[in-house]
Amino acid sequence: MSLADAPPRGPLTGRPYQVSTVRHQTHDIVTIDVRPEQEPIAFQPGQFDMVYVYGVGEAAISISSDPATPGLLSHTIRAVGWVTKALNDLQPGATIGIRGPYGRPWPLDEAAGRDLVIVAGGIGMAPVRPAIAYALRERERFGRVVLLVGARSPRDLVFRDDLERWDADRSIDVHTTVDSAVRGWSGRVGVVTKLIPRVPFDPENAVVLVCGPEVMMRFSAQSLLARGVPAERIFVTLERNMKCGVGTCGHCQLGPLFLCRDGPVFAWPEVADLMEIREL
Amino acid sequence: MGTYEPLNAGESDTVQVALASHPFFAALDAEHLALIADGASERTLGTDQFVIRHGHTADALYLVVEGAVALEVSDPSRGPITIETIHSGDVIGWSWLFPPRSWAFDGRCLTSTRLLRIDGEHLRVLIDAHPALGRDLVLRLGRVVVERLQAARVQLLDVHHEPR
Ligand code: FES
Repeated sequence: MSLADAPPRGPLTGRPYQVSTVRHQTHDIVTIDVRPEQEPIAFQPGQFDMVYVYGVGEAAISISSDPATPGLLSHTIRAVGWVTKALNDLQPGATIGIRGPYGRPWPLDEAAGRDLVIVAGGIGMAPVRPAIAYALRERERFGRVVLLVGARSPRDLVFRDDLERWDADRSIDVHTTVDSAVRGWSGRVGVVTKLIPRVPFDPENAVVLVCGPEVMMRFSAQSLLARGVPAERIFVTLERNMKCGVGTCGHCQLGPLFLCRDGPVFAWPEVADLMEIREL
Repeated sequence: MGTYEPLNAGESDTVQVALASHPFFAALDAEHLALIADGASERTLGTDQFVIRHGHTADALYLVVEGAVALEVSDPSRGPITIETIHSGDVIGWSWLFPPRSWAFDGRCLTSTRLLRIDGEHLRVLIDAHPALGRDLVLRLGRVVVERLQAARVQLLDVHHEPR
């Protein structure tokens, strides 16, 4: 797949998919693997789908699987509202509707020949996971590949198997930290932004993808700028309630931007001011 | 403080070389470094050994060369809680600088840990006797304190907590 192509945009009507696996990541986060009942649709890392639970409603969910296998599509969901709670309760064999993929993907072509640094907080691992899968497969295209992962506590870490596998692999430099822990956790404790000044990468020649709670992304961007990463090479992905997913209803508006159409991935200078506004 | 490639044990002939290669003392005046080295020694602690103990006299500044130390608070109902881990290239402790000079936390090694210990009394004497060195040292410590304070504030925000 060439990432230089225009990002794929799926049809406006949902297609049925069958749930093949439900993986409980934490007490309130699940990853649902689905298989299409028709021809799979290609997607790029960072894109999202509108996922429909019949009889309940629809929610925008980032795709968390490897873009090389569009026939096995994963979405990672935290139960916070009606639809996401219904998604959390799904069992293998259930049918859901999916339309997509939509949105602007991570600019991985821009990272070619540079260090690729990924900062993920909590469920923010989901939208960057396809980018990591891509980077691992196309490893020689990048300089260092560094992954910084933060979570509230060890029990809130998602994709732990992946983290262990990538860490053992050594082609990617994985640093995991949690905000607090009781004894028994032998890893790092401290906020993920603390790692940014410490880990080896070339700030002037790096592209950084950041995904997590907005406050965490803001502090991460500040630390990255302080380390010397150019603002235009820091990318964040934003979330708002979405309805149409394709830039027609205005539900996801953030200032002049429609997150579903103009994002969800943005270069830091595009959204820095908007993220400083107290309430939107 | 930037990234840090520690010297291997025995690679540095003198404590002074080990101090000079630690990020905390990056680009420190050689004369000042020699004065500080007079009060410094290297030590290695094993897993679960304590570098510092809550309530004990804070008598030294520690630079972590290799390994990791958990700063812990004991909570009778939950057991020890790790509030932060300190790693290679970081420092532990400024309580030796201010009365009552006692440690506020436990510092437990998570793995075999190499440290540089600089005697607190020695540092206080140097700060009084050599104002330029004192200013430099206090600024370096101040930077660490600010970094830790900012990290603690972000930690307090509990950014990952999802309101229900
Ligand atoms: S969700 Fe309708 S415009 Fe974005």
